[in-house]
Amino acid sequence: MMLMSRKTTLASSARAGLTLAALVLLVSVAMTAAAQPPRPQVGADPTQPAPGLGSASVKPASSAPLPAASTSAAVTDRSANRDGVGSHKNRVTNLAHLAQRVRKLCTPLSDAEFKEADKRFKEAEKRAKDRIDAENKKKGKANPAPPPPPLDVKRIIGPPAGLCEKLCVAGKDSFCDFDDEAAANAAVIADWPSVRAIAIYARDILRPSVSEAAAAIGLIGTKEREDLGIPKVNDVVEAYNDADGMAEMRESALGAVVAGYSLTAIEQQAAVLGKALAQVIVDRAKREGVGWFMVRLGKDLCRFNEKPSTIPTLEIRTFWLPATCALASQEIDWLQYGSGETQLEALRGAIAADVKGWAAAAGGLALGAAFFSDFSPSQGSVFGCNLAGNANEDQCRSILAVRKAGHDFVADVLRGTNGSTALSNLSSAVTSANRMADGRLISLRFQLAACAASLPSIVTTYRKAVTNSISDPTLAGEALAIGGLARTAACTPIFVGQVPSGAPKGPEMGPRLKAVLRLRGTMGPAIAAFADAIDATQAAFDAYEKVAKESLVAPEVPKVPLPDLSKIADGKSAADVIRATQELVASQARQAQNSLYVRHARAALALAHAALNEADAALGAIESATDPKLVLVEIPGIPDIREHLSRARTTVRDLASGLELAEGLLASDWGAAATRSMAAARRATAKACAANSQCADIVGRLGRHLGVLVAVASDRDPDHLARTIDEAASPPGGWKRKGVDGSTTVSIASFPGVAFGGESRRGQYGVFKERLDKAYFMAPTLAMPVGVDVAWGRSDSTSWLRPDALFVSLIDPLAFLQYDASKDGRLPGPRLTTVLAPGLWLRYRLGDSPFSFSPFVVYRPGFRAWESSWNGPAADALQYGAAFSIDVTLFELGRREPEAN
Amino acid sequence: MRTILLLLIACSVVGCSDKLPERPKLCLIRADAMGTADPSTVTCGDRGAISVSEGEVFFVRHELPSGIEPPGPVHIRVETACAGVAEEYDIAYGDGNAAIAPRVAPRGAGCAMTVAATIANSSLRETTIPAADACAKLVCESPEAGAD
Repeated sequence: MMLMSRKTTLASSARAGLTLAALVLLVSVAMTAAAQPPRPQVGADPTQPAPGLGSASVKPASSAPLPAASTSAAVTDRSANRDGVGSHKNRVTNLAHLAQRVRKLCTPLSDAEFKEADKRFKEAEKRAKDRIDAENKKKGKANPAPPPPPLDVKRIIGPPAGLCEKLCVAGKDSFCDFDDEAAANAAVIADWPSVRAIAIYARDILRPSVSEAAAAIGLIGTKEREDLGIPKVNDVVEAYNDADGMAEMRESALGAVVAGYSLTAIEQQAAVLGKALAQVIVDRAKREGVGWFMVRLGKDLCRFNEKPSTIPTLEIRTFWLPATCALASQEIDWLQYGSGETQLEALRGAIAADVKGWAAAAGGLALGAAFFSDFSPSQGSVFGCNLAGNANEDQCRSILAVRKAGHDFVADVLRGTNGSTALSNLSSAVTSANRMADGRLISLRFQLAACAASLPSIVTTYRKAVTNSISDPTLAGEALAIGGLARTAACTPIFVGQVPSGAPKGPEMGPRLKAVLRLRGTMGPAIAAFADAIDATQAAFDAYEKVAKESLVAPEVPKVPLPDLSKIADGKSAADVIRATQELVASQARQAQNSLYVRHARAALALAHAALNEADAALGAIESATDPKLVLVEIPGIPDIREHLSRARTTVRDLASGLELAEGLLASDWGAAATRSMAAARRATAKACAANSQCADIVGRLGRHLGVLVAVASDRDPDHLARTIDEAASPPGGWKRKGVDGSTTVSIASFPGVAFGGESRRGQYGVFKERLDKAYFMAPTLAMPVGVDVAWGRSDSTSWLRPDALFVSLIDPLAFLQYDASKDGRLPGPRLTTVLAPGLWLRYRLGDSPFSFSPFVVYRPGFRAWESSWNGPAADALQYGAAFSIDVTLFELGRREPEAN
Repeated sequence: MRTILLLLIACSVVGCSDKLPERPKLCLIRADAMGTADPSTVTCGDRGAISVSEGEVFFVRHELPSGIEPPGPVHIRVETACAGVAEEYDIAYGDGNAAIAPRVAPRGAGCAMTVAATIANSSLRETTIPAADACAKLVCESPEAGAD
């Protein structure tokens, strides 16, 4: 069946009469191949004649079936194009063989060899003639067969004109140099169209010789052929077959079978489940708190009222909280999302999307900042590009493109995209961005990193194919590395140079193939590490592929047995049971889905890590090159790339660090992931803002809300969510924030502690009439004033006399404990006004602690009552003294951050 | 500000003023000293201690500072040398924030009688001055008691 198929294929190809001769020849060769063991692997001794013409099983052309297979791997495995690995192997085998044969053809025969060949041809010719004469006599045919034409031995066994001078000139970029397996592999990876174009040229050059040989051999006959035994003939025919096979190979994509699995489908499913979950969320009573929180968030982070928007605001809106800030265009809009469940869900969804993207934002920022530094700017920062109408528009376009590329890389990996593909996309984006208007490279360091980043994709695609033809892993690694360096767009400017546009044609070797030859053998000892990294990447890819396929199948949700509702008499209870069951089902479905997502994303992350290690190892291999100058194409002003290589490796490792930021997200450890992202952003900001203080507030503003943003993002339980927002209003450690130098914080706070001092009274206390002119001793007693605290940050230069805060107390819930030392410790008779405690407290913090010493004056209306009553007679109390208390910030009302330096 | 506060603290400890608040007053008024005046109009003023004899009528007057809302009736307890607590009773306040009640001096009052008035955070005592040799001739038992 296969034979028929191939027969049809070849028969339908438009070939001239000349081809018939070649077919005859191929038939003979094919028949031989059928009876022979498989052809030796590439790399076998090319001096040994390949089975074929020298075989005993060649049949006359007339009786042979149409060609089925050839000793040439190319013809043998033409149908193997469907299998990427087989296809690559065929290409490599044919290329190496063709190079070997051409080299051999171009090696001149010695006079003795030529004489011997000529002698044999003459003898064979004579025998053939005798045989034909004998057959004519025996059969008595009316039309006897013609005698064989005289053979032009030189033409048959000699190299055809135009072959050697074009393809095999010693000392120049020679096609014959692709005769070793590593170079052949690399060439096929690097520039298959050029290889094929050269093969077509070789085929066309070899065709007349093959025709001659075919005619001669077809007429000479089996017995004579056996005696012929001239390797050169075999070389011509084999070379033709190799070239022809390569010329006929279809263009086919190799690999990419599972190039990308996206989690989009999974996410869509999860969204539906999330909606189902939202439906069972009970409405919350904390709506005011949510509204307050949203307004505050908008005010401090998105700052819609800020006109014109500053760099930090634009940065936060664009890169860090795009979804959250997109919920509104002005502060009041935050309240438009209704209340309760809907509002919570909208808020949570937006914040979750943003916080989830922080790892990507941090990765992008780090990359963008590093890229910016390569511009050697005298002023400004990477954040300056956020401003519209920036003077350096071209630079900014490139910087933003690199930022986006870094962001997309981390985000893609988190979405479950094949890590090497994501890295390849990053490489492409950086390559596009890394050009000045005049076409010059902006950053060699980034181009090297992009080049290295492009290799894992090539390796993933070709690894199996290459290792199938090269058993030595180090050699295979070199082939893959060189092939990638000479092929990818990112590596081209550095390792290949200018590549002419248009399809390759003719024997001229393209710059990619020349690069392969130049790079061959230059890799240093670190190529072994690259080979190891390739193995690791492959293992990660295999694992990823397995998980990715599994994740495309919907997870099996555990069945939840429905309770027997008939046993529930109370209708309300039945409704509760049904709702609880629904929640359980939704929860289990979500968990099952989430489990799949995590596995998938983890595999993608592991693959991306491995790919980055591989990229790093590739740079290491180049770095260890015996002569870096040999590696590089000539780039003006860059005599040595070693320094750039080292920095490029740092960039690649920074990318790996960016991935680590995301790992916490997969473990649902949002806090850790967000914190790491903030830390990374802080590092990048510190560098970027060294020359520009305007951007220093970016991380600070985000950091202030980090806790609540993370909590809101990670909490899907509405009760917890509401509690979280409540807690946002009363952040523990509020006292610490108050102490930041240069800041001003207004908060509702309480200062429980011990107060003592004096007390004067006015009004009726029992049956006494107090007139404020008698001071009573206020014995140390518990106090817990609550009020508005205005705190200023303190620095070393602040006078110790200046209080750290001014506290205006309003009430004191512990006022009932203020016993009267002058009246046998009598407690104040509770009444409506007892809790009131308007007063002024000057707070002095005791070191860096939440404790403070506060002189105070408090006026407590109707405080000293002899008996309990609603509004019975009581004396007002003016208390003055000092208190030792602890700062318990309940509610931050507002805050002015320190001025950026 | 800081100085003022420190002063206030110091004042609270040592006392800036020894002025006492306006307090209630308790006084005993002999009936004959009242004359024909309305008893409610006769104030304690600076009256000193009085001397009463057993069976004699006198007025107990308890005055609250002006503006003080009486938290209730004032509790009166009378003690004599013969009976210890001779009697206890409450007197409600009338106009002028004064609680006033006429009483007959109990047995032994000629020697000494103490009237204590207690209300809220005020507890005042007033003691009569013994008449000449009243204590020496003091006979506490009633005539009926000896007949038994």
